[in-house]
Amino acid sequence: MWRRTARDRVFIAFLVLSTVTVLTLDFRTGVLNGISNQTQSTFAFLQDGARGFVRPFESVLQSIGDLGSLRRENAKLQQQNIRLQREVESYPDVALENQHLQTLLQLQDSVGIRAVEARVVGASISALESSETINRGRNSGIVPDRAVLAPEGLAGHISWAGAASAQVTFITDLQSAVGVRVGESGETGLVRGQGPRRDLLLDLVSRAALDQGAVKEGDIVVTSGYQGGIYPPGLPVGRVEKVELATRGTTYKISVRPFVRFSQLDIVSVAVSGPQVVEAPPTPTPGAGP
Amino acid sequence: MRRILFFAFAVVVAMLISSELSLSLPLFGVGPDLVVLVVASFAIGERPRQAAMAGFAAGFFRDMLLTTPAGLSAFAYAIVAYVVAMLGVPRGVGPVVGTFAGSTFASQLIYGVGAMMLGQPVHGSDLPRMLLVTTAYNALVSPLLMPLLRRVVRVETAPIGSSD
Repeated sequence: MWRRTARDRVFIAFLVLSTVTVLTLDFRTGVLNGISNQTQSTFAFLQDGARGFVRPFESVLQSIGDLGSLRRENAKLQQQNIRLQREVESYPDVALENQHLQTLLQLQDSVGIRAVEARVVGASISALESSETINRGRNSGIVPDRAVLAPEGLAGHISWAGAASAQVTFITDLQSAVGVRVGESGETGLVRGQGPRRDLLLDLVSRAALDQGAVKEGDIVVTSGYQGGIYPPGLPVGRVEKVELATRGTTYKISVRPFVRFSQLDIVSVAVSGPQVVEAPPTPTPGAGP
Repeated sequence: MRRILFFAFAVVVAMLISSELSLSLPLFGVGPDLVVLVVASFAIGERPRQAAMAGFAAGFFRDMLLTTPAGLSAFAYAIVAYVVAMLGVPRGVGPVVGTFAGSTFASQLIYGVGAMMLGQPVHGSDLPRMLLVTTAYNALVSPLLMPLLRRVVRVETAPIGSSD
């Protein structure tokens, strides 16, 4: 074992000072942006290459990782199948559900944006971020603050774009917020990310609407497209999973389960024309205010 | 010099594998942090100050790929490398895996707490999950990466018991 000397103490002080310097440069100036952009571009290029090498074996890897969840999902789907069969037999209003699905498809078709497809090549190396890297960037017309779509609906937005790669920050990220419209009531609100693998939290603008039951479990949540055009309107975001009064009874806590299965993302569409994304308000407030 | 170059190469490879495993085979939504294994391997048998500088460089590279405040990973890896180097060379499989697990836990703790202190929004249970899963993941994959990590370790030059 090494013995600590006076020089070591000086060195540790130097280490702390270096860290503070880097932090300050990062916070107060844009000095590190150029280095960061170049590093990300180079790394995305390497990720793309590595991804091409790994892709043939991916199904094997995923089948290992998904084994537990697939079993649960299988059991859940079997139960759901039985329930749906009963509903079809006993409940003559299947046409209504069909209509809802058609409406969703129409909404996706009527978004009215031009998009380019990109492939996911890497995930964030920090568990504190909900983001992935895609293999297209500014050369394909992708710029920051554009909507990113998955086949199931809204996935997130572009948070950084290099020449041939870009970073997608998911709607589940803690710094993400999306203006939305809920179900048939059309109530508007804001869904905020709660971190990876978590449902979104819906903050409704109107507490009175909540008291009148304007939002119920199972409601479809789509982007509202208001506020000068944050995301294109009508993109499917998720489904209301739970509506409950918070412990003190003064606020509602509304969970929205995203449609997109972020762990399964492979190809995404990135809007290259259309409304831009704006930053989330700085202080998140769980639940809906009175 | 060759060792430094190999260390840099190993850091990039570790970063790529970490990213790929986070995408293809996450455990509870969390991937491994193989860079800290490379840093800890480098630190074993190295002088503490050199180990800390190498850790700082590797962490800075990681910071450049993240949106969390730059300097956090650099500081975390530098501290971990310094302590691992101070502790000397672990003997046997258990102590080696323990060193890797401890290094992972400590670096993630410093990084996570630092991010929270600097205002990064972190969900309450994300930090414990990240700490535990990343540590377990790293402990699981470290035996598989031994051929790579062994190249980074320089035990033959370790002057055990001597001062820096």
